[in-house]
Amino acid sequence: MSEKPFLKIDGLTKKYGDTTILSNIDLSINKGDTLMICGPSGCGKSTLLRCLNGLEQVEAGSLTIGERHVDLSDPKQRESARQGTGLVFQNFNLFPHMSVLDNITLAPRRVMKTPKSTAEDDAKDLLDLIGLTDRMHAYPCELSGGQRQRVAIARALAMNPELLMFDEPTSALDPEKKEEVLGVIRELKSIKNVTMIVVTHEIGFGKTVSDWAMLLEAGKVVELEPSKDFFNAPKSQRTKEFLSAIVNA
Amino acid sequence: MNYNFDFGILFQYGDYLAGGVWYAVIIAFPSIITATIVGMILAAAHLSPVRVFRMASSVIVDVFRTLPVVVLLIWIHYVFPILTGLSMSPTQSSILALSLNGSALACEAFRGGLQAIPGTQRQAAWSLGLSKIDTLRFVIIPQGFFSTLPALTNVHITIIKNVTVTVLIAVPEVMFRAQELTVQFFRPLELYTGAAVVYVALILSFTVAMRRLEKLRKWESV
Repeated sequence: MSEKPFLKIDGLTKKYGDTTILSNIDLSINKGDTLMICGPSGCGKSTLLRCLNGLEQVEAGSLTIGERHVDLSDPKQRESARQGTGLVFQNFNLFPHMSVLDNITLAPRRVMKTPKSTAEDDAKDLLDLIGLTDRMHAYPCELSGGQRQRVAIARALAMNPELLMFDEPTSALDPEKKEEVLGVIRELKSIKNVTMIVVTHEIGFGKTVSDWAMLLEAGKVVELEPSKDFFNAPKSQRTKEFLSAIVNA
Repeated sequence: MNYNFDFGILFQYGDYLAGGVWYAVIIAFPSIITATIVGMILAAAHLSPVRVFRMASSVIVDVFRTLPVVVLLIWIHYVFPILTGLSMSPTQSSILALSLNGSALACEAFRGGLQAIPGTQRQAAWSLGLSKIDTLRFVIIPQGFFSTLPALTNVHITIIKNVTVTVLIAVPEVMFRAQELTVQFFRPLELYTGAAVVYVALILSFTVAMRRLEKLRKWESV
């Protein structure tokens, strides 16, 4: 990686009571890079994203994005992490009582105080990107799973996050809908050059989109390599086992 | 059965009987409004991070939910004046008793309604950087309003039904008038059936209005 990475995570440690969920995680990512994280259930993948999004109180650790430095163990600072990072959830978590347009414009209007008309114009550009311009007045219950997830991506993007994170964005979707969502993520990389961390077990997607890949187990980084090496020539025996288990699944 | 039906009494005194609805309305309506507002405040206190508020809310709800309405009403109307020297009209005592009881019930309805909203909604809002106040105002309360409505409607119906116990302190509502006329004319079947019809009509029209309100919801949870 280059000398000064765009995004840097230092010594992130998270415990629930006596159980250590994440143990001293260090990471750096360059601007526009995509990092894929995989690992068995309960290894701390989701918790890692939630910590970086400032949703969890951590024992130690900091996040540096560009010029912004956030001590994640400080409850006050941790909330400011939410402004620099966006999180797309496994189950979308759209606001069911709001139209697609309102879902997307709520945070810009309330948090960044963007005037309604500007927020709506920006939202329309995002809807164009995700291919849902014709559904902007629909409620989430009127959309398919894939469409809901695309709206959730647009909602997170509307805050112009410097880091966009995805927590198993396609695991609640059938294969066809998966492709809809993965297609949008690919476009974000190629068109908008968004820096992303994607927790997923879609190896094909990881191979073609991610620049870096990481295996997390029991809260520790087992292996972190450029994707090409990670998938073709994993160094750790554990990574080999894990990858073959996913491929054979 | 040796009973000579004579519903003619209802044609004769129906106006007087139904006139009791006025008392049912002036007792039930303020009680419903008060119970809803106080119930909301109690539910908010229950969710508050301040321990004293939470405890106060629990105590108030437990006391007024467990006290039988008749006991509460009689106590307010006959005991409260002894203690304080303040006496209230039967209507005022009734409003106070039904409001207190209704507040405890409404608090539980609000709590249930808010708990029905998954925690992931709050997380999604926080994740976007919304403040706690904005999360409540734009995400939790608008959804909570509709998830609370069915239970809240039940509370309101209970309050209307409880108006009939005010007969014990001589509020001239429908049941009281039915009793009064029965003593005079000895026509219990006709008069009490008449009272039943009046209450059913009152409560049915209320539920129809509340259903209309529920129908305003254009969305479904996903």
